[in-house]
Amino acid sequence: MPKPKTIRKVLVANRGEIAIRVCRTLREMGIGAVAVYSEPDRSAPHVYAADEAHLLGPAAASHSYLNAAKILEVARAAGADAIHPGYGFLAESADFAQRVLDAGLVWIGPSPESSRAVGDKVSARALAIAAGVPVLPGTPGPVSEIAALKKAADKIGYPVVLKAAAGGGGKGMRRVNAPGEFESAVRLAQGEARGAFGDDRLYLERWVEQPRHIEVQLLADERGNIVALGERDCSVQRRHQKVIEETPSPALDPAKRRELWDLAVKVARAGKYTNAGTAEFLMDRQGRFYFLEMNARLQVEHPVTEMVLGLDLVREQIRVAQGEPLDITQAEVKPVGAAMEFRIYAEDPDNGWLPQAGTIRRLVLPDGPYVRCDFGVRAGGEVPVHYDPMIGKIIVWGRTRGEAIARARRAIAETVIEGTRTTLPFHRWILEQKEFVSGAYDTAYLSKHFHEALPPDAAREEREAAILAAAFVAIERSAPAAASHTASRESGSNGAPGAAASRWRDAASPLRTVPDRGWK
Amino acid sequence: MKIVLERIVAGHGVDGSEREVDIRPEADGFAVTLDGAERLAAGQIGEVTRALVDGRPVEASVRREGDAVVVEYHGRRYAYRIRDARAPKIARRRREEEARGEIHAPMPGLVVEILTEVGESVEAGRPLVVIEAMKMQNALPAPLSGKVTVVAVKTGTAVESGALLITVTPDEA
Repeated sequence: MPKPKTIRKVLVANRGEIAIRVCRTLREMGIGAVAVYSEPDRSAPHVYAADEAHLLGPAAASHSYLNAAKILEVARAAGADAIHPGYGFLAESADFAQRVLDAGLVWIGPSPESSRAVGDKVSARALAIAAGVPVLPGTPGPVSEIAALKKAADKIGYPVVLKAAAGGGGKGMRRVNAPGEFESAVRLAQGEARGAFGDDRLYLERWVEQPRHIEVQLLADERGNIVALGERDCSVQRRHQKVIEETPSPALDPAKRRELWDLAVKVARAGKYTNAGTAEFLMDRQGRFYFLEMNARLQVEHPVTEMVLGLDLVREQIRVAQGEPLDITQAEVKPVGAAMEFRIYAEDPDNGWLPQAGTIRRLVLPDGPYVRCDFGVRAGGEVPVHYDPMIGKIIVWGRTRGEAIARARRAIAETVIEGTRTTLPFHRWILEQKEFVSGAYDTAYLSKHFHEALPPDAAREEREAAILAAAFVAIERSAPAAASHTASRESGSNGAPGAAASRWRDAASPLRTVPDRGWK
Repeated sequence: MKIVLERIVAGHGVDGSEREVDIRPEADGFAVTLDGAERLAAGQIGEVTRALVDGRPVEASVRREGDAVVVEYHGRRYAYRIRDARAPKIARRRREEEARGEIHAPMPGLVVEILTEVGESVEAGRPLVVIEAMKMQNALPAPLSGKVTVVAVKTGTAVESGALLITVTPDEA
């Protein structure tokens, strides 16, 4: 039995919302928090969420948030006794976890051994098969030769899906409908995989038509106790990337739910898994589960689980990493109500989800009952081009799924993000779609049904925008100075309303130092 | 005063949807007539523009960007080019030019890109030439489907407002 160790100071090897989220728990637990940052992140909010902060290096992740040697050096210099990796960056690097342990520090995550066992999709798949957990028919391991892949595909039957062995996040995934398309599809997938991961090995699996993507949150201590902390339905995806997650899954009845949780625990047990992790499954239209992969880290969407269980997963991770036993048993896992998470990306949903860099000019986050916002940016701050475009998440809870949806509509409508396009209009759109509201959606839903993030009252909103534009022009023309903070030219009279500028108070004038008294 | 708002869609120049707006002072704000109805709007402008539009609170960011007025509202961006409705001659001339298949410079600027060549068959609406003015690039679309018969400018040409740029001759019916 491992002897308990007490963690007093944690280096959070990440940035953005997840670094802040981890720091919050550290503060609640009375544990010191050490932030690290890259040069463009010097003034980023996560730096100010910690008790101390240290520069890693230039913007490129390889010089900053992926710079293992530098992070260990900072940890040593700061006197940290543990490292929390967040998600992404070094979170799933078993090698880094090993180096952390070798440096005499605590790794707040799965042991390097269990991380390796489940780490790549191929070994995780072998593990699942050995544990009697169903997987999709496919190649047992990665294959480089087209002929061997083709033979496997012919045997499994079309359509099949090609996946990068080193893949993740949907990159290098490609569907092949018929033997005739096979060769060109393999070449494209290999090219993508090489570009994204420097490894062009592929494996293939049977394609599942309109599946649901459901995952199970697991938590395991170092004494062999494993619990399933409920599932999350992540079937709202664009290009195989999650945009909304919810729990419980609207697609499961209690018997199927129990079955899925048990399968997940089996995989974790087979991998001698420790700490927090997630087992991902596909569910086909017949309700059959297929194990996909294990994510050996805290996930982006962990808050929905926290909302229905009243649990702090980062706290549990730290407790387990200290060698403490789980303080929750499977029988005590009784989710209450429904929770949903809406990922806010700096991307333009009306323009091919193109990432948007820039300055956040204005940021108003929702508030009120049962709304949680985990954000990594602030007004006036930059969205750097160097990192993931996800800037935050809005999470809501309701006693029922319907209540959660109503709350989500309200919370999303309260949110204002200006200066960069975001996925907010997309969320407004989907919250009005009957497939989402009824819960009858699958991973193919967005690619088929999403074209433009039109708000539910598009005509009225456009009209209101036009009215404001017209008023702006009227003020600009009657008293150019009143609108001069943005006006670059323009004057003239054109019968413009003379006193309009005084009617519409100019909040940008020097008068702004006077407390806001409204427009009258 | 009467103005015309032309909606600009990112990357496509003016998308053709335009509406006439009549705006005059009324009580504490403006009475704005558009889409066949009069609406009252009153509020304050500034970094955030806040107004009650027929009693409905609207919060948005309104500012000038080059020759456009941009409204960021509920996560969407609306950009308008403003024109005086008192210039019916200009509007009529423009309609006539379009009917003849001519693209004229809508403002003084610089030709930054020509996306077609003489002899090419083009569909109506396809961008043919890009003009830069006040740091904004505008792709000007083919007014009708047909064959490009005249390209009167080169990349880098500085043009006056109204200068002929390209002519598209409609296909024989």
